[in-house]
Formats: sequence, C-alpha cells, structure tokens
Amino acid sequence: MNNSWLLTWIIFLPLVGMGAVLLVPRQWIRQTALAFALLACVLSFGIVPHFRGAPAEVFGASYQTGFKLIDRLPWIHSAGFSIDYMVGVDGIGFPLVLLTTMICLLACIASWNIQNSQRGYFALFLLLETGMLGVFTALDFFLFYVFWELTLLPMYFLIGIWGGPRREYAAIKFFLYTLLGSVLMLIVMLWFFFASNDQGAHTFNLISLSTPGVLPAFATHKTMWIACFAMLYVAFAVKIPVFPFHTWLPDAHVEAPTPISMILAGLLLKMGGYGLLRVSYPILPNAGAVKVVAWVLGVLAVINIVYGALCALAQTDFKKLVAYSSISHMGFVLLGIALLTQAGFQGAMFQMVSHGITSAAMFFLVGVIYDRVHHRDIPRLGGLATRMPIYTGLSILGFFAAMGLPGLCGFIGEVYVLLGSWQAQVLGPMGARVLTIIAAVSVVLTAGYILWSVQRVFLGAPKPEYENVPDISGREILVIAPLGTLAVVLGILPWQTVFTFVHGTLDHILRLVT
Amino acid sequence: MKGVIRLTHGLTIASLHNIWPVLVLIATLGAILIGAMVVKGSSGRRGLLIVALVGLGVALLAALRLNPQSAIPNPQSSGWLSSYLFFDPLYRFVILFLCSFLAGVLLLSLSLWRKPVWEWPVFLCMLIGSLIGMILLSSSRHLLFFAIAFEMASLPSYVLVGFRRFNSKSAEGAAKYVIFGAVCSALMIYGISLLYGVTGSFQWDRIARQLATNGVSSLAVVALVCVFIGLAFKISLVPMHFWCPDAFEAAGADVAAWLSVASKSAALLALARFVHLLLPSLTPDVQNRIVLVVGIVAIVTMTLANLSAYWQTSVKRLLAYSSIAHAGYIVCGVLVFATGAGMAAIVAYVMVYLLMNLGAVSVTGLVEAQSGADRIDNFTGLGSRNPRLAGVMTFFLFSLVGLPPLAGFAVKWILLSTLWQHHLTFLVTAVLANTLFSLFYYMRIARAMYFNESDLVAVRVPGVTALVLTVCAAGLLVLFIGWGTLIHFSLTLFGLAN
Repeated sequence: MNNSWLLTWIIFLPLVGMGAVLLVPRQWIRQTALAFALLACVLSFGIVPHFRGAPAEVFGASYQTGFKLIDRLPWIHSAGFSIDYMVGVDGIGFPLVLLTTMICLLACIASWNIQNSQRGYFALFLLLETGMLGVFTALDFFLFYVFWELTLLPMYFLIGIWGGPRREYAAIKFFLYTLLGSVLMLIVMLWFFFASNDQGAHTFNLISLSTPGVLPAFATHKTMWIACFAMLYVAFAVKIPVFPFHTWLPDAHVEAPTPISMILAGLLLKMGGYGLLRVSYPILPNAGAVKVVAWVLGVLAVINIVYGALCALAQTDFKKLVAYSSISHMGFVLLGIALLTQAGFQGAMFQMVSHGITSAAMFFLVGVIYDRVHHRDIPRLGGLATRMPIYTGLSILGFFAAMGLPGLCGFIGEVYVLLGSWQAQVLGPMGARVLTIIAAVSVVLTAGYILWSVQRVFLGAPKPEYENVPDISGREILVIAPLGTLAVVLGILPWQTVFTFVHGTLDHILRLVT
Repeated sequence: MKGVIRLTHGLTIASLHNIWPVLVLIATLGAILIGAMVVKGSSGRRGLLIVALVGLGVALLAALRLNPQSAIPNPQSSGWLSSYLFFDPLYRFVILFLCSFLAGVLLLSLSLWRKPVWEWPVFLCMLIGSLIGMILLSSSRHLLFFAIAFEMASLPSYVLVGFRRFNSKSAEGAAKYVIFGAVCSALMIYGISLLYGVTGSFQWDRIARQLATNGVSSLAVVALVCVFIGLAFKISLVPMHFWCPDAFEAAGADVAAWLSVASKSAALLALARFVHLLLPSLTPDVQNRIVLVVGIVAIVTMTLANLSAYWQTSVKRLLAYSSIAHAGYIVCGVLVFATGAGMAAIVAYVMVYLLMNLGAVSVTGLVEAQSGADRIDNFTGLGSRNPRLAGVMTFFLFSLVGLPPLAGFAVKWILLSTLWQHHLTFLVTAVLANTLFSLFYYMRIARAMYFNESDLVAVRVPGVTALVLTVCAAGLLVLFIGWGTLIHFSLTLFGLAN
C-alpha cells in the first residue's frame, strides 16, 4: 500500500509549527502559529474528495475496509512487539479531523490578545493540536495511546499557566482524572495485545483487533471482555465527561483561558465519544450489547443530560453555566451510542460535531464579554443588547443553536438521538422509551437555562456601568462568524454536511455490534 | 578445600583479557593518587579530571574489546577469576554503562565543586573506587567475592555522602548510611556463612544446584533472607530504605545522582542474577512463595515511597523517595525469572532511569548551589527565569512519571508488558496505581516552576552541565522513538533477541 502522507502532514504540521514558534523572533510568534494552524486547516480539506462518491466505494464493504489515506510505517518490531505508525480516516475520524483543524484555527485567532509568555503558549497550543489530530487518526492502539497522553501535558500547562485564579487546582484535577483513565486504558492495551492472535502474531492494530476471531471469543472470555469494556469506558467517560467523572470539567473550563475552553469543550471532549466509537464498540462489540452494560450507559447518559441541565440552571457564573451545558449535551452523545441504533449512532456523531461548533462559540462569546467587563457574574450583567447589538445578535444565534432550535445544528443531533433511543431494542420493550422520555423532557430545562440567561444578560434595562462597553471587534467577528455560519448550514443541510460522510462507517460499526 | 579462594589459579597474561577494564580502573586510581602529589591549583584539578576521564575512556575501550560468551548464566566460562566473576555480556554492559555514567557525573562535579583543591583527588578516588566495587558486585559469582565487592562499593559511598564535612546534615546522613550499611552487610555476611554451612559452597550456581537437589531447609531460608537484606539495603527497598533520603539530602547533587542510579542498578543486577540462578531449579511451590514475598516487598516499597515523597519540601529528598519508588518498580522485573526477559527489562529501565534521574538531580544541584537550598520554593518561577532549564526539568519529571512521548514511558511499558506476559498481574496493577500517586509530587515541582512567579534571580548554567542536561533530555526523546532498539539491545545481552 502506498502512503499518501496527507494525514501525516496534517498531524505533524502543528508540531513543525511548534518548532518554528520556539525559534522565530518575538514579534512573529502569533503570525507563525496562525500560519501553521491555517495551513493544517487548508490541508485537512484535502481529505474531503476521498469521501465523495457512492457509499459502497467510500465506506468499503465492512468496517475494516473503510479506511482512507492510510499511512503506515513500521515503528517497533522487536522483542515480540509489532507496533506501527499507522494513521487513517474513516467516517468517524474524518469529520473530527476537520473540526479539529478548524476550531484550532479559530482558537488561534481568539488567542491573539494573549500577552503573557506568548512563545510558550503558542508552542503548547500547537503541540495540543498535533496530539488531538493524532488521536482522531491513529489506527494502532499504542499510537492512539501515545497521542492520547500527548494532549495531557500541553493542556495541563495551558490551564495552569494562563488560567484563572483557581488554575492550579483545575489543572491538576484535569490531569489526574485523565491519567486515571489512561492507566486503565493501558491495562486494556496489555490484554488486547497479548490475547490477540492475528495470523499467529499479537497485534495493536485497531483494524485487526476489530476483526472477529483475533481476540478470544466473547463466549469463552465474557468476564475479560466486559472488564475491558468497563475500563475503556472509564477512560473515555472521563473525557466525555459522564457522571460521576465529570467534576473536573466545570473547574477546568472555568479556569482555562477562553481559546483553551473552546478547544477543551469543542475538541477534547470529543476524544471520549470518538474513543467509544473507535475502540470500545468495534473491538468489544458483544460487551457493548450486553443488556446490563447498555442499561448502565443509558441511565448514566440520561443522568448526564438532566443533571447537567439542572446544574446549568443553578449557575450564576456565565462560563460555568456553559460548562454544565456541555455536560448535558455530551450526555446525548453517550445516549445515542449506548442504545445501539442506527439513528442514535448518527445522532451521536452529529451531536459531537454540532457541539464542537456551538460549545466553542458559546465559550468564545462568554470570553468576549469577560474581556470587556472582567467578570462573568450573570446577575450583574444585563441590558447588553442596546450597548452591543451585533454581539447580542451573534450570541443569540450561538445560544439558540446549542439549545436545539429547529433549523440550527443542535436540533438535528438531539432529535436523531431521541429517535434512535425510542426505537432501541437493547433495553427491552419499555426501558429505552422511559429513558427517551426523560431525556426529551429535559430539553425543556435546556431551553430554560438558555432563555433565562439570554434574558438576564442581554435583555432588560441597560445598566450605567456598561455605558462604554465597545461592541464586538472585527477579529472577534472573524472567530464567531464561521461558527455561526456552520451552525446554520449544519442545521439546514445535515445530510449534505455530516451524515453523508459518516453514515456508512456508523452502520458498519453497528453491524459488528448486532 | 573446596570453595576457598585460590587467586592465582589459572593466571596467565592471556587470561587477564576479561579483567582488563577493571585493571585499567585500578591503574587510574593509582595515577590520580600519584598525580595528587604533583599538581596544584585549579588547573591541577582539571588535569586530574582529565586523567580520570582518560582512565574511564580506556576502560570503556577495553570493555568494548571484550567478547563475552553469550547466555546468562554461564557457569561454564573458564580462565582466571572465572569461578569468582561472571564474564558475560551483562558484565560488559555494566562496565560500559557505569563508566560512561561516571564520566557524566565527573563533568557535573567539576562545575558544582565548591571545596578546597586538595580534596578533589580524594573525591575522584572515592568515585572510581566505588565504581570498581559496583562492577564486581553486579558480576560476582562467588559469595566471598560478592561480600568484598559489596564493601568496596559501600565504603567509598559512605565517604562521598559525608564529604561536605562541615555541614551537619551531611554528617547526619553519612552516619545513618554507615550504621545502616554496617548492620545490613553484617547480616549479609552472616547469611553467606550460613549458606556455606548449608550447601558447602560459595559459588552461587553450585549453591543453587545444592538447594535444588536437597530442598530448601529453614536454615537456608534464613540465610537467603539475610543475603536479600544486604542487597535490599543497596537497592533501598522498604524497610531498608531509611538511609536513602537522608544520605541523598546530605550528599551533593553529583553524588546523589551517582548513588541513586549506579549503586542501585549494580545491586539490582546482582539480585536479578541471583534470582535467575536460584529460582528456576526450585520447586514451583517455593518459587511462588519467593515471588509473593519479594513482590509484596516491591509493592510496599513503591507505595510507601510515593506516599512519603508527597510530603517532602526538599527536592533532593523528594527525588530520593522517587528513586526508592523506581527501585520498587524495577524489582518487579527481577521476579520474571523464567527467561531473561525480566532482566532485559531491568537493563532497559536502568539505562533510561540514568538519563532522567541524572537530569533531574543535576537541575536540583544547580538550583541548590545558586539559590542556597533545594526547597521546592527555590524552584518557584524557574519557568520564566530559566525557560530552557525549566523545560528540560519538565522533561525529566514527566519521564519519571512515565508519560509518553518520553523514554520513561517506554521502559515502564516494557516492564509492564513483561510482567503481564508472565502473569504477574498484581504487580502490573500496583505499578500503575503508583504511577497515578506519583503524578502529584512530580507535578508539585512543575507547578512551582510554572504556575507561580518569584523574584529569585536566574540560575547560571555552566556549559558542561548544559551539555549533560541536553544529552539527557534528547536521549529521553530519542529513546522513546527508538525504544525498539533499546529493548532489542537489552535482549541481545541475554541471547533473546529475535
């Protein structure tokens, strides 16, 4: 197989950029970082043509044959290990790669006013981008793990150095939670490798591992399958984050600087959902289909949705409100995946993309107001609509997209997930419907906290202390406009923008499971 | 009389071949002592350093010319001293490893040196003397030879720890070290005499054969435990670890780096060798019991060390506890005795541990020398004062935690996969849980360096130290990307590479 190197270029361009940022003169740091982020983004659009055409051609005959743009180099082939540098994309990796390069580009623009040690900031920023791109493309479990851990270090410092007042606590908490998950993932990695038998050899290859017969059969190794599924679940649930592993998120988001919150919510959380779709379900399909597992995941997902929304209602810190809304929205991703239906899978994938857009937008919007008034206390805000009309308009667009207003992107994901979970068979005849009803009712809570915060922040009589607050600047519009446009386009043309690229792979994964 | 040392047996010029590197080191020792009488002043200091470095270099070359028979253990080897020492690839590796390490330590020492000139040759001699002891310790086949090598490695170490004579901490640390050492080596020698009584032999492989045929009596158990205690003291396993934090705090950074890596790895390799000679011939029942006991010692060691490290305010003490914890990890590798894979994992681990610990201790030494103390507070704001120094320190810390993309992760992974393959799952779990604990205290240093500001002045980094640090940091990255080569090399030592 010939390597096209396109993905390798995309993954490592930010790393090259990091080297450049460390070397260029001080006044060129931001421009250099932006150039590399832009270049990665432009290059990543080169993947799109490979996903055009008839579904059978694009997605292959099965999950295992649906990968495009595979780059493969032998890495460690001694001492009985066989580890490759192997990257590739399919329907679930590709949209997230595109989302990553795009959000990173916008976050880079949003970072323009970072003053304090720019060199370190942009270097870590680009390192983080490489790590995330690697996670979304790695097809070797060892490589996946390395990239997974690679995102930890920059994120720890980005929160810890450039964050808010409680940044140290937030940074170590984030680090510790994720490392807990990674340690469990490492155990699974050991079992996968030494238990696998791919034509007589052990393998880390995620494609081989998902081929039936490579791992010991579910029937004979039921406990091990479910144990591994559970450990992987914890690793990914920490990222999504799912109750009760979610407590790092409000801290990390609130303390992180605005662009980093955009990346955290928009991209890092997606690593969890992606991990479930890439590792857990294709490799351990039977464990995911066990009724108890589906029940646990489904109930936790609904807890996430309801609990996140209730917490969001109770917040007075604007950023914390957005953080809890992320928890609530990511609950839909888990619900869609856990109940194993076609519509649910597609809805979950769509929800990941749309949440990537809306949460990045919301965190940025909160950042804009924080830059101007230096607090995020909702009761003290109010009447901004008259002072900042453009900002208000864009904000309402962003918040309504998150709320799930029909015609905007948040709506499609939630509806698909609910449609899917309504039909789900895995929980027996009634179970899934009960969960669906609870999740659907909680949409009212979402509308509640969003409308209420819009009312408290933007509406009402203008306050004198915000007399001279300037409206949104050109640079800020440059960040928010693409996100707003995407929110509308995805809401109106969901099939053309997302589903057409993902449905085949998701169907293949579902077929492995059932 | 079987077993008594007849040193001249089989002595010819050709048979000296194997022992050349050690002879070169002894000659270097002599040359430094003579040189000390001749040279004066700081130029003399540099001159003696060059003598030492040349000696190490020649020993390295002599070791490279060795062509040891493969396969460990190799009781069939012949020639002078071959009934006392194993001349196998591991012997060669230890010489190469320790000589190049000592060269790095010497360069570091020169830049940290704050004492009268006349003490410099003493210092050099102590380091080289302990080096010879460590080489012999890790390769001894004969238990009397082993006891002598043990003392030869220990005595200079006591002196080195107490070298800062006018510092009360230094005196305290050295005293603790000596007392602990004396008790442990006395126990060990007692154990050796018991073993001789039980088996009628001093040669480790013969003892193993004896125990295999006649069974392990309770007296033999006592004897083996005594020998284990001696080694556990050197490796600093709990509860023989108390000397370690005090000694490292007392010693200069260079000595702390030397002792934490060299002395521990020599003792670890000796232990691994003994376990490999002894265990395979015993009954599975006894094997399992030994594995369980040593495994529990390892788990207690790493857990206690990691928990203790959290409370430290002195970075040197913190790193001492970290080195105890790492010793606990490495000892797990000893328990994989069915093949040489466990020893290969140990070899890979100590090579990488050398880089990360030497790096971390050197940075600490610089900070201590220039800001007066090695408290974590002295690291505050290092990220903005010395971005490059703080950067490499971060590398070392993350590698010590065992995070990719640094070699610390690769060797931990090698160790864990070896343990997993040999069904030592309880050790895998323990190591992973400890990795999680250890994150806290390593990150305390990172946090001090980056998350806070201070008005301390920038640390001046001498050129030589910068070189050592760069080599260590780059090595960690390179060895991560190329860890296949690392493990391949280690397995080759044991004739296991595919």
